[in-house]
Amino acid sequence: MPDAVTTPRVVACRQRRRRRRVPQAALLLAPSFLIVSIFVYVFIAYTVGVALSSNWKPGKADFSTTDPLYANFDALINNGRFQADLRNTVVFTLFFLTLSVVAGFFLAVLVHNLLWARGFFRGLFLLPYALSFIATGVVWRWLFNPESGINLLLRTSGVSSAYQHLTGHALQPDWTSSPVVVGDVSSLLERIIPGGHIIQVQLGIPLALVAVVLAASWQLMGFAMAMFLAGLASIPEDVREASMIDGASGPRYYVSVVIPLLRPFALTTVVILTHVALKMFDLIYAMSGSGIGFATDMPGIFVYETMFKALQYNIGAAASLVMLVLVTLVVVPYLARRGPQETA
Amino acid sequence: MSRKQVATAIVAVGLAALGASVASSSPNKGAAAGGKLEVFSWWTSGSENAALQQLFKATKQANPEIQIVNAAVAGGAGTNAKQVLATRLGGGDIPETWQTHPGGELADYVAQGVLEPLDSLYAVNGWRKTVPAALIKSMTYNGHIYAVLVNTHRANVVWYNKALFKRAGVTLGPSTTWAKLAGVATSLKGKGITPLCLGDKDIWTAGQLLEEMIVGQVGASGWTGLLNGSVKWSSPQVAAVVGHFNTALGWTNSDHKSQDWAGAVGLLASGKCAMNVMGDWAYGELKVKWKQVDGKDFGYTIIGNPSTFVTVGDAFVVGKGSKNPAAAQAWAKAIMSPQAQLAFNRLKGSAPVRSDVNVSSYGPYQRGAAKVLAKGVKVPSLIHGQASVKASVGQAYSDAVTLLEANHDAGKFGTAMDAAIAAGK
Amino acid sequence: MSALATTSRRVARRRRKAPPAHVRHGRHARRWQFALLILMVPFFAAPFYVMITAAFKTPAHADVLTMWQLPHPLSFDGIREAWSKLSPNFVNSVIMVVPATVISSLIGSFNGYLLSKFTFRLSNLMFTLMLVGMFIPYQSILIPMVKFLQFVGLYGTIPGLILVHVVYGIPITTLIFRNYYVSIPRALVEAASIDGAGIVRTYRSVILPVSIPGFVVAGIFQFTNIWNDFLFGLVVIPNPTIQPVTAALNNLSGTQTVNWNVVMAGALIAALPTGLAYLGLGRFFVQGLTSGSVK
Repeated sequence: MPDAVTTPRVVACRQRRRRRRVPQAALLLAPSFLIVSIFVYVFIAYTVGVALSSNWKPGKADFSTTDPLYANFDALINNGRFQADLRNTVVFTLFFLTLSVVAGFFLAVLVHNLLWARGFFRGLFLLPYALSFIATGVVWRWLFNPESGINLLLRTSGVSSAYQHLTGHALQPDWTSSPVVVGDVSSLLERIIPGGHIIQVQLGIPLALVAVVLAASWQLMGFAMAMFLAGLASIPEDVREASMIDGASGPRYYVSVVIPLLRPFALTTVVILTHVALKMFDLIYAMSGSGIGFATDMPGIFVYETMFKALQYNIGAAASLVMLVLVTLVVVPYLARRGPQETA
Repeated sequence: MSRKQVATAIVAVGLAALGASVASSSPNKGAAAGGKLEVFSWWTSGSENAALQQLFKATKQANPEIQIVNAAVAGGAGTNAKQVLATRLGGGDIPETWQTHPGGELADYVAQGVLEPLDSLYAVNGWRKTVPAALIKSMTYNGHIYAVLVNTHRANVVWYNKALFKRAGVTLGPSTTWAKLAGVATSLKGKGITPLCLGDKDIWTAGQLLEEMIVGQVGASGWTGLLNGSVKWSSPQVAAVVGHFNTALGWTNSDHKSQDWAGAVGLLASGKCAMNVMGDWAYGELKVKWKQVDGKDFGYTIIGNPSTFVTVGDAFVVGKGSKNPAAAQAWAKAIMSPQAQLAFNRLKGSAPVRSDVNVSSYGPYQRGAAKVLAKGVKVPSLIHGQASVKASVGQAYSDAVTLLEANHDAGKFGTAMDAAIAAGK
Repeated sequence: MSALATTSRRVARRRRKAPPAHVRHGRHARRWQFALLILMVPFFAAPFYVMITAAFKTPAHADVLTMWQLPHPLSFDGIREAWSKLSPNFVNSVIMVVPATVISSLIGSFNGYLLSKFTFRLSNLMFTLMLVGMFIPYQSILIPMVKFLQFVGLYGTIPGLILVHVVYGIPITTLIFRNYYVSIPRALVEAASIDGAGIVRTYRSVILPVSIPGFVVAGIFQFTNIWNDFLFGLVVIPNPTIQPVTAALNNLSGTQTVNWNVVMAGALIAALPTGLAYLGLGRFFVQGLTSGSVK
């Protein structure tokens, strides 16, 4: 960052001060670090104990372990449903993030450029975020009902017949009722990776997830839009004018100027939406349940049912730990590598 | 453990001992209990809440000093409530009484040592004579009985729309077989009528359809054998029923995967499809919400032996170490009274578990169900967690049906279930 | 609140005076953009149409088969029943969500300031370790959480619930503020330090005044999340009379019978405070950074 007051004397003084302050800053961060650590690591340690136990129950906290120690994790890896859940969560998160972030960005640009009715559109796109997932899940279940939902609108409005006329195919999507998994690579993986024979599910994209992605994006796209609107508003007007003078106009302005400036906002949005995607539970539970052949099942639903319906607390705890470790491996190093200087 | 926790534990144990001594002496004298009584259930709305209020009323009548705290949690067919209860048991904050299913779930609580045995209550009040033995057995572990049942729903009922049957010129008697159902379905389809209503967004409804088809085919003894492992799920007779189930899925409304059970009942009532296999909680939905008349708008039949009753009961237990054990005992006693059972089941649409309750004021369906419950053969529903197998077996069954809907593979289904039964012993 | 309101008016005035330069150009492009926005309206509005009409229907009519029809006959039973069941718990939610949002945002802001302006040894590690907290599976940590709350004597109380929401909010608010403060030049902080201000005083006098937009972003995020949570509410507070409104909302649908008119009405009523918060603060939420950023 170019800085007018960077004289050697000041730099030396600044470094001295910073060195002196470092422990103080650490000290000031310590209380919240400590309490978060208790709520995260101490509680997780307890969960690890449950996950390794042979028969832990809420009313009888018996931490005697399984033999071998990894037995519960082994059971989990060989569970076809959990495999489907991992597949679904990856597919769902990727599509949901892409749709919400990309559409959120475009909505932000469109709303930002509006001269009037800005409040209306901003409000409309943001309002779904205020609603409880339990109710929106039911509404989306109705909307994706292949008989009386959106399909009925398509039929009565003539869109269906026009589509059929043009393409020769009927426009009757099954939405969440679809059992189809496209792009299955499981047989390929079984052949090329050692131990691939444990794969019991089709590793592809379950079409039923498309409807779920649409519903979830409906609810959170507005949040992404708001983050980007905040970012767009933070770009000073002179930047725009300078780039205009340089001959960057329209799309090129957005690609070469706006998008780089919005990167810290995109990063925050991606992290927050990833966290939402991985905890996605109420919406899908109310909307489609587990789906045909677990096409829309999620790790959250698996943990919930394994712990409180099947009463296998140890397996449920193991599943939640596997999820935590996978997320930590994917998301956290990415964040940690980006110091505050880089995002500036 | 902190000193405070130890102190709390000592006090709790002391209170429990005190409570137990009070309780063991009180049933004879019928002394009224007082104080707070926390009732933990998953009944929160509509008729189920109205029915629950009848149990509260009966308890208050016998014990005017009791203050009832209604700690009901809805969602996930009781799973939300179980989740909250689990954390409370884990933290040692034990409610006086909570709702549970007789079967694997009850056994799990017994194994955790959080329940008071109710043997003396049963002995003193002579309940062993009035409650059917099969139901008593479903609540008995290690020789002790641990719960009281307030009702029993019947799971194996086929409901049908009479107007649609008339249009297709078909009829069904008090019982039916797969062959007859298939014939009826063919006639209905010939008239352009969707034969079967299904709402299996929640997989248990499909699981129940298959369960009742299996029970109807293999009978009560065959079903018992399947649950205890002496009959294999991979046997040809079960595979045949699974084949029928696959056929039956082809008879259903095309939006079955985005409907729930109540949606399917609505489709039946509004004439979009003709038959629905559902527990008799559907009866209340048909009568109250859809204003249908029993015998005129809808009829019902049983697959297989009409005196086989697949039970779905709701039980309450007495928590060990709660703050007010005397009130919990008073609750158990009050909700087992014939008056409470009569009033509760009238609103809930189920049958009273006591065979000495006079049900002549009920409608024809409920009277019939109560009679079969008292005299017929009772077998537990697996999908509704009533069977004396681990709760994980019920979950394995749901999971197997979820996969079956995708692959229609009876062989894989049988293998998965045999493994689950073996692991759940 | 009044500070927010003045800033809002100032921002509004600035906006009216000078529309962005790119808006002044390209009338043609603008028409296309407006048409695109209009095309998005049905996608966003359809679920609201279904919810609102269902809330005013009779139980049998509030059904998937008749979801597109207007309420006929018009019924207020759903609204009435939902309100009677939700209203006793509304106050609990308000006295829980306001302090939880404010405290977690304040802590997040201070942490974000420390982490973005003072990179010390282990600062990235500490931040990373805290961020993991965002992803912990709540279902499996409920029991140790209850035990901890019992240990500190806060189990079953609203302060206990506030504590839980504050602690699990810290990772996200810290993340939001850390990325937000990145746009504030470090030189500003250092200028204050040369003047002899300590870390805390610099935060108060330099950082806090330019943080209002960050608070609005973090605040609305926290407000929505905490308001809509019901799992923690149920688990931390067993007593139904002091549970948050979402616990009552969850109980509107029964285990066996569900009247969708009541559920939809309840969902709309429960979303009112959050929705109003957006409308009232939407301007800050979205335009905040310009008014606050240091140029």
